[in-house]
Amino acid sequence: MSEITLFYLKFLLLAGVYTLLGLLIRALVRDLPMPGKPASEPIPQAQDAPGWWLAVLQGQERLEGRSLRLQEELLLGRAPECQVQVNDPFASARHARLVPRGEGVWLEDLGSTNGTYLGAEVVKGGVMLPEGGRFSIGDVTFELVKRA
Amino acid sequence: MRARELGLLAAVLAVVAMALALATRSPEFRGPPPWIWLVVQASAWLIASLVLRWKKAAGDPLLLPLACLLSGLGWVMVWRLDPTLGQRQSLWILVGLLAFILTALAVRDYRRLEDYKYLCLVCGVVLQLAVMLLGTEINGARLWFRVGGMQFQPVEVVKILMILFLAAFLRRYGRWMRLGLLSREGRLPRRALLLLGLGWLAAEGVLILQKDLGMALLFMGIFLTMFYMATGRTDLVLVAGFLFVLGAVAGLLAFSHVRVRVYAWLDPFADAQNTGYQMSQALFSLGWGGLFGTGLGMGEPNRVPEAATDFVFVALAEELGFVGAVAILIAFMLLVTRSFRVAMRAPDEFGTLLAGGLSVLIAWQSLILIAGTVKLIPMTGITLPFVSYGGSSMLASFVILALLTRISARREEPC
Amino acid sequence: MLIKRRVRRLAILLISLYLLPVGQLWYYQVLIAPRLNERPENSRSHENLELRGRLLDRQGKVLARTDKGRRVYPLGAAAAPLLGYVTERLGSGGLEGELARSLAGRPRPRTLEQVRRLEREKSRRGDDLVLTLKADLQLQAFELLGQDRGAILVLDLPTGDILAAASSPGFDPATLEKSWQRLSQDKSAPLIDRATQGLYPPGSCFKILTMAAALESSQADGPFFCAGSLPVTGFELSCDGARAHGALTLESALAVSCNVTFASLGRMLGQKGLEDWIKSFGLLEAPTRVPLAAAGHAPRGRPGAEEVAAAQAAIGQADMLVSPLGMARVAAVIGRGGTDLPPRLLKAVSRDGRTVDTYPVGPPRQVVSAATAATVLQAMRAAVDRGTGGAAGAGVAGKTGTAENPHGPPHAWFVGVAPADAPRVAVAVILENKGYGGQHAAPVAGAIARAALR
Repeated sequence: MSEITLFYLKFLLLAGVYTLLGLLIRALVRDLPMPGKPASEPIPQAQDAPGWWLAVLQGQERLEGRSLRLQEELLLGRAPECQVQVNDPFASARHARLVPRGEGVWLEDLGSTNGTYLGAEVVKGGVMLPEGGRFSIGDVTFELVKRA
Repeated sequence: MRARELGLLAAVLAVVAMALALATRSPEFRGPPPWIWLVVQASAWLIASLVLRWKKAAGDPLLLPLACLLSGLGWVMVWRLDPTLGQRQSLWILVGLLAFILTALAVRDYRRLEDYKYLCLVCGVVLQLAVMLLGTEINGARLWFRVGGMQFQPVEVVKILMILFLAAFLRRYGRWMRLGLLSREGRLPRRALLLLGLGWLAAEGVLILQKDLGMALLFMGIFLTMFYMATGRTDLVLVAGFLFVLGAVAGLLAFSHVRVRVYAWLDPFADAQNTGYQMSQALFSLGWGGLFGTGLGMGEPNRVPEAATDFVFVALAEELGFVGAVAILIAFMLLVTRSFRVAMRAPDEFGTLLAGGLSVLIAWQSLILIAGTVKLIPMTGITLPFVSYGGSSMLASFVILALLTRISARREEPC
Repeated sequence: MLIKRRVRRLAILLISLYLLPVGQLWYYQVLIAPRLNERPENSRSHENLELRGRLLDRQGKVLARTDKGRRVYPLGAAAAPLLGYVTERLGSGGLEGELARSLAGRPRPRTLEQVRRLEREKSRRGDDLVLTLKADLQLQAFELLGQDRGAILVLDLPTGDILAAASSPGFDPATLEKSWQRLSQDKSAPLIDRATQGLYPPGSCFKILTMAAALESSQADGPFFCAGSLPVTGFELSCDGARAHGALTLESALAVSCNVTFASLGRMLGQKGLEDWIKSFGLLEAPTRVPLAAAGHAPRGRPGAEEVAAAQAAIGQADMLVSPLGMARVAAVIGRGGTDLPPRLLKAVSRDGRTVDTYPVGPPRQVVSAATAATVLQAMRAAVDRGTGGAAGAGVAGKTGTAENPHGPPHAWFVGVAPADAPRVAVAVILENKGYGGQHAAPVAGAIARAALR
């Protein structure tokens, strides 16, 4: 190959490499919006109804900041029959249940693998939670709110 | 998805072919261009893609083309530096692709790997101890086993075993490490401290016994980032990182071999004919390349000792210039971005931790090596994944690629 | 999940870390690349010796070429101080260093302009340089010097070409890298070419110039009388052994090398007058076509001592310093009938066997009249036929010199032309600290002059 051809080919190669990177970046950008699983339908509730409410403080993007009304027993876990779907890898299928009982809410761990926590304490069996009580399953932290 | 992977692979191979033509047609290169090897390699890549598709094991369609680009450019450079090494590198790439296919097919369900975590730990520790105590010392660092004419670098296996163990272990126990000391509950996280302590000890052990800063950095980097991923304990990670730096500095002061490397790093020209020779030659190589490079096959990267292994990035930077070197950095960024994406889309925590750990491995290893060769940190003895010459490294890189592909392939299936 | 958020954070952190090497690459590959390329330790900027051009003698014999990455000098030590050296480790010196611009192969082209130039020239080889030397004469001259420290310079009168420029001690260019330490510290300076760069007091040889100057200034009306010594402002100059020569003509004063006569001529010419003549013989400037040649030096004398300076300079003593090339040039002016030609060492440039450039001869310049030159030449013949220079042998006209110097015994000089009746070559010989010029330098000069005429 003549020197002048080599000289131009040097730039052509660099252009080729960058075109390739461009193709790869385009493929990458196209994939960017992460197709998550369809969000489970939120239970339609009047947001200001009096009584016990379960608020998701943090840990689950879809539910964060949301509240659920606690009228009867609620099941928490990954199983489809649970009213509160906890999509955390540390959650068991049927992880825990909540029962409103007048002055407090009964939290019962249903023999989960990774436990239900009150702060750093593992819930053994069940415990009565007062207003403002917090507990967590995996990375998800819940709070009990009582609205007048 | 598959069609896209094949199309991208074809485009990458076309660029590699052009690079090969340029490198071997330059007036300075003597010897025939290895077209046969290129054709064999190209078919192997396409076959790998097709086999995975056929076995329904196909995963992320960008991983394979990116690996192909990096290993292709590395191979052309290694061939241009030394055709004998180039020929062997072709074989290593083929063996690597075979390992890629076999791993991808063998690991039908990566979650099963979680059960072997202690086996991984024991194998890793035994291998590591063996090479520390029995390995052959090359350039003052004990990183090799030599059997006959072949050299084997066990660390390439050890790092994968370590990531498998850490992913499984942290998946199981990570939650208990999230709380305690320095966080709001004020209880001592004994498990976390124990694990961090052992990790720290291992990294310092590597530094002291193997006398290689890069390897120690790599271990500590992977360990701490995975610990962070699983626990989010930034405080503990920072403390452990700080302690590691302390230990490393003490190590530097204590060991003349490492100290020499540090001096050679701080001012390579002070002893340019001796201890600073490699680093100053590397800098001359970079400077010679300039903005657009000398053109493939037209520079003098052979003047840098270990140009095909430790300094392959510098060799590429000389002949492709700043512009080409940045292209390689971008390719690595894309590969790492993509493998982190696999981690983020993994269906379970073990998958996330494993893919995350492997991504961190690719990122740290390439960053440490590149930083070492461009005089950001003292020079180290590790290889550039996919690019450097070397069988163990190539094999390990392809196994990592196979695991990532497998984890990304699981996304579609119910869990 | 929190863990995925952390993974994302980590990914962003690690990916942004790749910007650090980008900055570092920019610094080394673009910002300080030119400075890196120029560092002396950077062997990339060293030239590729395979591409370096050859040095050839006037008949096309090879004086220096490259073989398997090493520079080869067929004349060995005989031409080493003049030609110099070039090695990967030591760089270059002598002509090899001075002529590097033409000799050195060109680096691989980087810019479009350089590529186009390479397309035109077809080759990156450096140019071959043709010197005016005659290889076999150079070899003989070096052999004649033997174990002595000294130099021989032979000029071709019609062209001003340097036919031989030998300097002793020489060095073996093949083993230079090994012996570098010793050679570079050797007090006898084997790396310096004495023939063109050595500056010495010319001693009595300088009387040729003084005589021509005096004749031109019409201040040489004899006869002269030598009483053996001459007082000059509180200083006394004497002839060898303070022996009185008695009454002398100018011709016989040169033949017997009478200090008293020439010192008094110098005093008459005056310091300024003598310096003008030294300048017009071309001794005070470095000849442009002889790379590295040294310019001579004329004594000024402190204020009030100009007379002593002039008297001493006239007999080539004190601070009067000339190279062997300079003295041969003076003899050549006399031999050419008063005409000076600038000395020439570079003859032509050739590329791929074709001559692409030549260095012209001349221009000639009349320094003294033909009559003056003829008179001086006659006196130089007398010096050989019946004076101090008898050992030079028949057919040579010249002047001996025995130059006092602070480094030990006097330097032995002989400067002359041959054949005596119609000169074609001029020679200058110096043997350092050897003693009488008539005894030691004259036979060597005779031998090399006869060899040059063959």
